[in-house]
Amino acid sequence: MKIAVLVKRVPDTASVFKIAVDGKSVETANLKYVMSPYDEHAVEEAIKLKEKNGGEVIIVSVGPSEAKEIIRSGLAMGADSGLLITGAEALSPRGLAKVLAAALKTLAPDVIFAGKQAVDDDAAQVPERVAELLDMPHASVITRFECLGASVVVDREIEGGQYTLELPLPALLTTQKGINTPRYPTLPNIMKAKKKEIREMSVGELGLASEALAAGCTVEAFTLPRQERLRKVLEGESIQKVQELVRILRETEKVL
Amino acid sequence: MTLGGLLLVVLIVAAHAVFFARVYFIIRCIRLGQGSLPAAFPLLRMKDVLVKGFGQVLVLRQPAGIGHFLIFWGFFVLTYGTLEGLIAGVFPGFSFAWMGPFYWLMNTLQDWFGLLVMGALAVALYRRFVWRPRRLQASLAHTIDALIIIVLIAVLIKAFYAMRIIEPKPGFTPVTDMLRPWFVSVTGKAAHPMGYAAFHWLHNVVVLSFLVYIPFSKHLHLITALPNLYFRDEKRIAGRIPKLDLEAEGMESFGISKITEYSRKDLLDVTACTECGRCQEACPAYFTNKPLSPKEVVLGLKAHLFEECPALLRDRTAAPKKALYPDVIEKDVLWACTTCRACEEACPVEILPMSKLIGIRQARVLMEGDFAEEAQTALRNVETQSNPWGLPQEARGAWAEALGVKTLAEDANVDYLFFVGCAGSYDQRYMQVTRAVARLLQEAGVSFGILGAEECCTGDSAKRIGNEYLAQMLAQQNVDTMNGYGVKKVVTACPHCYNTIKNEFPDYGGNYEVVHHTELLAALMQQGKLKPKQGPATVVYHDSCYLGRYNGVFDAPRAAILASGTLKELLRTRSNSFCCGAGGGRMWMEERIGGRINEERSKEIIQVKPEVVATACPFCMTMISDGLKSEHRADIPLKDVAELLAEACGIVKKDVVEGE
Repeated sequence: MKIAVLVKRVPDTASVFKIAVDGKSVETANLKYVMSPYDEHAVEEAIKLKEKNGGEVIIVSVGPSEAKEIIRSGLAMGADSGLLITGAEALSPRGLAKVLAAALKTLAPDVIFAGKQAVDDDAAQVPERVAELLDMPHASVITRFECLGASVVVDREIEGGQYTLELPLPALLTTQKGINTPRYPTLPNIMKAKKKEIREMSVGELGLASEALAAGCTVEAFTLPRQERLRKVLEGESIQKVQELVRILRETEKVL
Repeated sequence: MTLGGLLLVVLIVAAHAVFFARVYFIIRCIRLGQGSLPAAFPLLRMKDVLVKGFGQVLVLRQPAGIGHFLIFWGFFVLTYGTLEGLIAGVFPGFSFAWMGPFYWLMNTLQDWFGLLVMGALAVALYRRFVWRPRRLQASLAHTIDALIIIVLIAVLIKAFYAMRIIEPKPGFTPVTDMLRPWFVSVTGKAAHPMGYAAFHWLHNVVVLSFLVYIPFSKHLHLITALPNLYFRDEKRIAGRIPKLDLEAEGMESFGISKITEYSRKDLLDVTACTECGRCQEACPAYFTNKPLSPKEVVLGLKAHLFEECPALLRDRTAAPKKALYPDVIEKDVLWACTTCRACEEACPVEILPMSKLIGIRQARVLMEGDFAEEAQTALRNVETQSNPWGLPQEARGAWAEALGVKTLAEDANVDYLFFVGCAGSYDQRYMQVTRAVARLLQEAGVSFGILGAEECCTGDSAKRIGNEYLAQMLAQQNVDTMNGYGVKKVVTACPHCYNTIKNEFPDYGGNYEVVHHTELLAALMQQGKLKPKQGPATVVYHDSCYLGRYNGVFDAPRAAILASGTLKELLRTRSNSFCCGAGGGRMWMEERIGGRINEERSKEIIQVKPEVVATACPFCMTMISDGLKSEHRADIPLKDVAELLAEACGIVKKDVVEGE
């Protein structure tokens, strides 16, 4: 069984973010990068499936050359090889999905896992778009996965409940927290990962027409969340303070 | 030779055959371990054996040690007579009388020591069967073991006195002389030759039984304890964890997952245990009803070693009957250790229970990735942001901006690198301590700088959780940065950073003169560069394990406290101090079993009614602060030694707290 996992190199959300001078991007100089946390669950689920049914796990990513480090961390968890497509990292979800779909077509995997969303732009679009382009059934935000051979059964989280779905293979699934606990890489696996193959190809090699990669939408501006504090101290008896607090939250700040 | 003599010869030979066969087996067991026994500097080792072994210095740290001292020396003194008696049993009429005055002296000593040993045995019996302190409580088999030994020695001494009563020897022997009339009144006769022969036989048979019993019982320590002191492993002195070679050719297994992966010294260690339980008594995990007892760890490994060895001696690759983990050392035992090293400090024969556990932790983490999820999160955070909270590495030096402290990148021409540590950089409470230290150093005119965002975690928690790989990366990264700036002297406000930089960074090419902030501040006071004003507060100081027990820094923090108030000692203090519960990576794990270590320590602190509690470690501060809150005594101010000193030096509090 061939299992592909889509992963993305994203800045650690704990980083200090600064807007670049163009106002449309983030300054990357001091950022620390990690594998998007939901993708770790995808890698874990893929490795578990391989351990159970045999086969191979291929980590696929689009990103700069440095994204190899992120692929390498997936290999250290136990994946077998990696594929990195460079020169396409600036694309919108629409273009990214086309690039990934083209690459995956050559791999022809039986199952594709991906994180439910990447924590950089939180678009949550790429895996589903890939599935559509590959004409594959897909389920997003899954919290349970079971392989029955020719089909898979998954639990899919929805507001206030869950779906249980059965999908024929090949299929694409995006993972939610809670499906598993990503393993901590062992030293022998870290050492082995250093020798595992990561194939690097440029987006040009996929032979996609440039208009096909055009953005569906473009970024107009980035702004940081407001982080001001009111620094207001309420005076008086407890009961009055509580009443005043509720009034402010309700009428002035309109959060209640 | 008489028939009796011949029989005795047969018994002597048989007993020695059994004895030496067992000793040989034990030596072969130990030789299944890795490497060779450390043996450099034999003279220093001999000195250790003389002082700690024959001088019984470590044993005598507890009152019960007096009893041991008497039995220990009584053994040597009485062996003189035993030897004489054995030879006389084979060659009737033999005696050491030709030794003249020495003979007289030894007879005298035997008479006295006989009584002293009997007294010590009585106390030993009382402690094991009436008083039963927790540390001596053991399984039935172990208790019977102790009883057999006590009874054997007692019978031996009784027989000795009976023989001397019947057949006096030259010497000043008041005990025998006092017993004689009583003996005569009971038996009716003083010197019946048959009586003498009976006691002589009893004595010889008991001695030989004892010889046979020793290496099969906990009295094995008679043979192994002194060698264990002699072969002390410097690489593991004071809790040090040697650097593992992770890139060794053909190395497939890291850490300890089989008993034979321990070093020979480790295996000698476990055979030297006498079950005195001092380690257990000192252990914070045991004290709070967790399944870990350092004594049981050592005894478990000992039993496991002897159980597995016969098969292993036939075939080195034999599959073990039990897995070292989790059969011998269980999960909750393994992870309960706070690496406070109280057990290793307490052991009278320098057994190292803690380092046995670290080896297994290394195997769990490096080979299986198997450790607490909370700790995994902390270590992942260290991997990405170089601190266990996962806060931005870029913000590491943020505390310093308002104080005008420069980074080495800005100005590397300074005397001291102030290595701030993760807690000092990110923990809101401990940042106040960092600022207090910085302000005091500025006040005293010390030239220092920080690494700011270039500093990363020293890897103390990672190392002690068992993630040697991560610890090595962090250490190397720090050493490269520090060497890049030509750092010579380091001051740090964290005992865990202190221990790692001082004792482990040399393995990575980082050789610095390292001081803890309390040491530097105490020195600055002495030089008159800081002039604190004595305050009225009664301060209780809680020793940090990694500063005190690990590195012997006890007096500097006390000197700084004494300059600003009155010092009150806790019951468990200095090298006997009780852990806060956060060492060994426990800071990053939930404490789900038993009581909470920090609450126990806080109770001890509250008991002595302090006006102020002082700590010198960020972990201690967090743990004791939480402990005081749980005990509803958050009203007791908890301060770092540096903060006390800053106040006494009149450095405005606002300065320190707000950094403005």
